[in-house]
Amino acid sequence: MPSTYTPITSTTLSSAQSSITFSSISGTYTDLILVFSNVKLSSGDSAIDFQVGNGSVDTGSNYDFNIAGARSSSTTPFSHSLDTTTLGRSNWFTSITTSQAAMSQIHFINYSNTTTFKSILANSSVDPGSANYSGVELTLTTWRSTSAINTIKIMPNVSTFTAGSTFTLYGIKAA
Amino acid sequence: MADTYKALSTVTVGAGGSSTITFSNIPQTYTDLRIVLSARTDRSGFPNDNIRVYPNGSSSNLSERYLLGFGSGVTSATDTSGLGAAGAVGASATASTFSNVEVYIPNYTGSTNKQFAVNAVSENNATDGRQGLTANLWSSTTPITSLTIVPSSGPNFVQYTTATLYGVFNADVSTPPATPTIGTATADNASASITFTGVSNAASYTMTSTPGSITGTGATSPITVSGLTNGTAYTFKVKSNNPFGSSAESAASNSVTPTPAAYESIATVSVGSGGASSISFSSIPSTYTHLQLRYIAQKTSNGSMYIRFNGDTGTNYTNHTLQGNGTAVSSNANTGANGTDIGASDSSGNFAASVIDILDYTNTNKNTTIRQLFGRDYNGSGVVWLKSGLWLNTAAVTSITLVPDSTNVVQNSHFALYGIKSS
Repeated sequence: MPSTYTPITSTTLSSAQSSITFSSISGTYTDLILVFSNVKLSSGDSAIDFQVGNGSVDTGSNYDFNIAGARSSSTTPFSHSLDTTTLGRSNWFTSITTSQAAMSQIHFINYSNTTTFKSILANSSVDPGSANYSGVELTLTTWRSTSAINTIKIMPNVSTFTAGSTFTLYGIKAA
Repeated sequence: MADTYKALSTVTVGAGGSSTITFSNIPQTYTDLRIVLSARTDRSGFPNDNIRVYPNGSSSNLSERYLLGFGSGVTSATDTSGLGAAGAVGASATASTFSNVEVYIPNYTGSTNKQFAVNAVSENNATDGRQGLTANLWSSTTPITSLTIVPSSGPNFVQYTTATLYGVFNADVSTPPATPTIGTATADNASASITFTGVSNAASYTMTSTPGSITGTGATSPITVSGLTNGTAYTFKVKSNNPFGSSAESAASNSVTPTPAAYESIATVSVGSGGASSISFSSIPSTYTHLQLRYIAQKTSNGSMYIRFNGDTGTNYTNHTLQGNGTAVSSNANTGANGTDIGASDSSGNFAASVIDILDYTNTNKNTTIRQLFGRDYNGSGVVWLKSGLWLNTAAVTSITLVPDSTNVVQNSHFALYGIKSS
């Protein structure tokens, strides 16, 4: 039986970059999983966001997200949501120093169907350490569009990804 | 002019009759096949009978649309039980009367679905005659290597029924084709796919592995060679074939090493119009280490959706949930339940998304655990959760049922079950 978990493309940055875009994604899979690892930012703390679209990314106010997580600055977990915003979200808090790295798996389930809004699940973590914004997060983003997703852009809300950050897109195909 | 139309095999039914006519080991060196059939069956009480043609012994993935004239009228219908409606006379037809049938199969070695055309007539007696035109499709990309013909009602073809299989080659040449150019080999699980550049006047191509001399045949690039040993490095050579011989082999491809697939699709359920009151995955193979269930789902009204294993509806499930609702995080427990609530959205929200991992599902020394990532959105509010679930039973999981508590799962909900191997 052929493998149904297929790497589509993988990029490790050789220099700092403000965003990564995956375009012309084949619609032949059932789900997509975007895995990023060893992601660090060149300065400051920032959420890591994404936008999706068909042909080009949707920059309109067509995203909702809901986050639950915990961070090292507090023993109290947090939950947060935003409605009709311009960005989807992988993780709300990420590294504040270059010594901390973030990772995430973002699940684009049934991404190419053209009848439902897209529900996108992300589970993310930032190196646990002494910094305020390390922790774990689980996020659901809704993209208010029934269009198939064939373009994904991922970027820090501020700052840039540093060299060594790796982004891999996988396709999963159901029977 | 080259001889590009050759009789490959003839079957004549002897005394006592025969329930099947089979052409096997069909050479892969022609472009098309043609069967000419003169048939009569022992179908009692009828002057007519149908025939079925099964490629590679398969009676599945077959469909047909036929147009049938029977003297006093015309009918047309679809059928999925086999290929080739109309095609034989029955026992009550005029004595010594046989049908006259052609089955034409173009591109039988190709990697596309296979089309069959059946033209059948039988002038059965003074009051019954049949003329059938049938368009058939075998939805398979596998080259045809055998054809089995059976009476639809029969049960037997009678003595003197004859069938001849012809090979048809679509180029007016009399020499073997030139040598194709090897392309790139790509490994998969116990197989490899190899591209090549074809040549003129070739009916098929044969790809051969080194080591092992394992072959794969097809009419177009790429060709898949199966039956390889995972962990062994292989190269491949390709040659072209037609009825007049084969070319020399090409240069060798790059070396590739097949590896086992660790993640495979088991089954999918897409909910259609009218919704579904339950989603079931049964007869789950035990050949994996873990299972993963991925879905998007919505219900018609608020409530729960439960996951149950092996049909167990007893109060044998517990779960704990860490969840955030956009303003606060909470944790809750649910013990002694008759299933684990894995959630869906309702019609006031958007489709929920979920990934559930079920570890070590065949182990009979462990209770079954699940881990779920889940989220649903209600236009800005909503919930995300991480859930642990336990089925208090050490039986191997062989079936999974998802049951909404009171209302249906709606159309466009989509569930997919995957198997994950550890080695």
